Amino acid sequence: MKIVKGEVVFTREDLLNFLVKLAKNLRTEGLAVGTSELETAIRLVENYCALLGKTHSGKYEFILEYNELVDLLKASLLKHDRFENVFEEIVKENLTPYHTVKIRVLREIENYLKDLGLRFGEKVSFAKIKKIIRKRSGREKAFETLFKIGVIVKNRKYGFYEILDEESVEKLLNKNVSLLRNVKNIEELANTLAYRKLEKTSISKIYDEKDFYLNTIETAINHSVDLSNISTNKLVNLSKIAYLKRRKSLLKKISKIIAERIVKNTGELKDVDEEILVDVLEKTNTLTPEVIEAIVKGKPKAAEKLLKKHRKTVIASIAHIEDIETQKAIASKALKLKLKREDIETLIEGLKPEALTILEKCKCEDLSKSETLLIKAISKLAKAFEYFRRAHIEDNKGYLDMAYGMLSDHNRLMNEYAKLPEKGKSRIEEKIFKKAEVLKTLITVVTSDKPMLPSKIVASPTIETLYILKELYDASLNPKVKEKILSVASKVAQKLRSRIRSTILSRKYIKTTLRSSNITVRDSIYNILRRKSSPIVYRRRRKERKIVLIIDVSGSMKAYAESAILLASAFIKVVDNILVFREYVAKLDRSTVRSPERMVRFLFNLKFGGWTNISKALSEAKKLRSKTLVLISDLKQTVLTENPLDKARELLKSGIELIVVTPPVYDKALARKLEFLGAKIIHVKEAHDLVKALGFIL
Amino acid sequence: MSNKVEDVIVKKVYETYFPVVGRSEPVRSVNLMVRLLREKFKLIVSERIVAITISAFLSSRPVLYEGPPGTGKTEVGYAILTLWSGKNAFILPCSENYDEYRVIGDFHPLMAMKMGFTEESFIPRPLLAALILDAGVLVDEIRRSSEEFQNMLLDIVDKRRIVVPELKRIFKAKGDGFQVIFTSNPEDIAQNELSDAFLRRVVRIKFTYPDEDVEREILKIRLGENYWKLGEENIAKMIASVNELRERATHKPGPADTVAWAQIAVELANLREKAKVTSKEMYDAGFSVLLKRIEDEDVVEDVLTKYFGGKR
Repeated sequence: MKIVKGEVVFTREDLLNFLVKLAKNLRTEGLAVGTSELETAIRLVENYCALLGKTHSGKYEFILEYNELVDLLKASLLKHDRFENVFEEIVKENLTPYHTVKIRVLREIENYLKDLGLRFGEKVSFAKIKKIIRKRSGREKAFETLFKIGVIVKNRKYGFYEILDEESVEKLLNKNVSLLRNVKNIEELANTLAYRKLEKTSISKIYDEKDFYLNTIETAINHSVDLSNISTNKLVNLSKIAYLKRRKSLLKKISKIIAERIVKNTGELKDVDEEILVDVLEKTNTLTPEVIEAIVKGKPKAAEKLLKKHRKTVIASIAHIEDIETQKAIASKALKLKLKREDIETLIEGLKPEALTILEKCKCEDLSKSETLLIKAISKLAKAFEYFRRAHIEDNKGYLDMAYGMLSDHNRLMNEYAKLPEKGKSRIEEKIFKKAEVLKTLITVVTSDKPMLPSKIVASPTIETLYILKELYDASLNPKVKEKILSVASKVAQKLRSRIRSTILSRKYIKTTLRSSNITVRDSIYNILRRKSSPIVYRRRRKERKIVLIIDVSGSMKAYAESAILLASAFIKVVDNILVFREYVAKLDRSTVRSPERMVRFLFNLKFGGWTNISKALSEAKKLRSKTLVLISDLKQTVLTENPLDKARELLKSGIELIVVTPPVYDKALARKLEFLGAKIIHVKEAHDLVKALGFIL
Repeated sequence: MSNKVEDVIVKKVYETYFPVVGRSEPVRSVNLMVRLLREKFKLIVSERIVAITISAFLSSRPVLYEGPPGTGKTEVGYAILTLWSGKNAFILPCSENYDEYRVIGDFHPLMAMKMGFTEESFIPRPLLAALILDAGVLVDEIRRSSEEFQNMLLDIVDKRRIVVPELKRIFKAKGDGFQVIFTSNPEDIAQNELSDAFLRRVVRIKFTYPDEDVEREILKIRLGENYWKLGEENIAKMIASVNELRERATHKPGPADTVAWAQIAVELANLREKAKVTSKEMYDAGFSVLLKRIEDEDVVEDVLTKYFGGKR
């Protein structure tokens, strides 16, 4: 028999409840246990405890070792050896030794209080506590442990510590009974509770109890507790406090964690205060190139702060920024500094063609005359493209004039460049020429009548192909070209759709070759007897479940929403309806989704951005009377009309299944609440994974 | 009238059984009992077994000792009962044809012919005697008795009283010294199964073979000075071979057998005028003690040869 360490503590009532439960379970396993035997067991245990003095004077009457109790139960309830193993197992299942820990913790709390010279229910001023702690070493630890558990509560307003009375302490422990099972001693309990408190508190409250939270996070890190529930922002603030309090080793540890997190997922940076972040990371020398790249990517504002000291890495990481405007912003900040030749080189390489406009601000002294000329020329070209684009987007013909003006400027500068004596091209010049070529093709696409598509795009399409096509579609002005791009895109979409369907559906259904197995015998015989013309009845296929896709098309969801719509169109048999929502809700009819052309047209004309209104989408979805709703959203409700939780609760109560697919950055609190209500949450890392996630659902 | 009549039977009981029973101070403390078991009875019993047994007595439930033969059930039961009630316990060795007349009392045939079924012609038997004397009863090998007998016993133990219909008398237990321990060996196939009704009423304590240290302790206690004559090496070998036989042989030697083996080996060495027991004595003694069944011959020889060398 495996001896489980630890004691079992129970009252008579506990024992009775336990035995009744045990007897019930034993009976289901086939061990007949009568009431008289239970009586014997209780009497035996009572007498045994009395005999050996295993009673406790307090509320808890009996204390037994675990295997002692098992032996007693065996003596009174187990009558055949062949049931011994089953019996032991059932007892083990029914009896958890957490009671013991609770008592031990209670006693230890008592001891600590005694040590501190405090009583339950007492109120002590801050000063007195300080005096008490200073009196003897070791008292600080006792006080801290009690404070962490919450036995001692700080009353900031009136300036005293309050010690809970005995009853509330027990209530507190009862509340955390599930914790007690996994906890070995009071220190561990204290640490866990404190960590939980840290998870829950707001950042401003951390500043109220600086030392407490610093200690908590330190022990958590030392015990390698999973810190994923603590937001990066909280960590950053904690590290700031650690710096203020001059706890260097802790500061290092925290900043290391922060750096790891940032590198792993730049989305973590979203809510972080960039000034503190950069401050902290700089002080601990954790600003490795990877970290800087991650910061620049996820928090462009912080990049400006970094520029002074880490110019090179920042400029190099500009290339990884997706958004053109941010690229421009950082580049312009960078250009204000005194840049060297190689910096300019990396900058030109990293910037997207559209962002090259920023180069007009370039005032570098290292550059040769030809290079400065070229840089100016390309910025004009980029500007020209920008104006063409704006002219299209804002439908403002005025921009066209400006664009052509820019083009002529560009040509003039190029002429000037050509007049310069030839020396062979420098590296910067080569790069500029390459970019200029790209810009020129873009401009021709925008302005020309015929689309010039790279041939490989159509040959082996991916979802990215569609994105490129969309960009082209947005960029082109000529309606004929637009039509052409649309037709290509619809072909691509068709191909993609069939591929997706085949990859996912091939695994979904198993074909049955045995046709006879599908015959409904009873009905068939009935029909034969009635001499019907076609008597054999085949089993009908069960109706597939129909789902409604609710897709968030607010700005943050762009990549996901596009793939989702495309994917959904591949499953049109299953997908009943598609709802697209931002601050308003739009319903796609089936015919739109079914034809690739219309679908692509819809997709290409879809404008991302705006607010998010989840509750409205949900209430709209409810009207469609579908059994399953799939919500693809980052759950960040920005329109505050109704609580989306209420709507979700209503839906789930009425028996509708709600599945939520979220991108890596999403509102965790709302997601958790939804999960609690009964919704199923699926996290998707990248837009590609959406295929899998949706395939799984469908 | 009843007082006078009672005297007759009680007197008879005291006359017949009191010299057997003796009297000493009853023991109620577990620690003391464990110590006394060790010192007085040379038995090593775990505190838990003693405590559970006594708790069962306090809950007025009979106790059932179950386990393989030779594990000391009978001895332990007897000793605990004796210490508990302060009087030597009665042992009822069960057999098929045991009935109430054999345990409660019967009538002298000639006297009954002469006087009818009266107190004078009544002969009290151990169970009634134990009840009257407030002593413990050890019912040995309960499985050998009939179910009827078992149920009768249970009734008596439950209600703590004995009815003798012929005399129209009810005897009630006065103190709590009257306790019953049953022993049984579930591995013995020749015996009856115990009924569920019986099992439900008893507190069952399982006896197993002792582990090495305990067995060594038992030998130490039982052999006294002779233990050192045997030598640690022989004892270790002995325990190992006994443990092996418990797995392989059909007759499984208990600690009692081990003790007997050791004692005989020592005696043999004395007879052969040797200062210490050699493996030859161990071998010879072992062969005579451990070989109880003819089909075990090969196994016993094999094991003994393995540990104590071949026949020399």
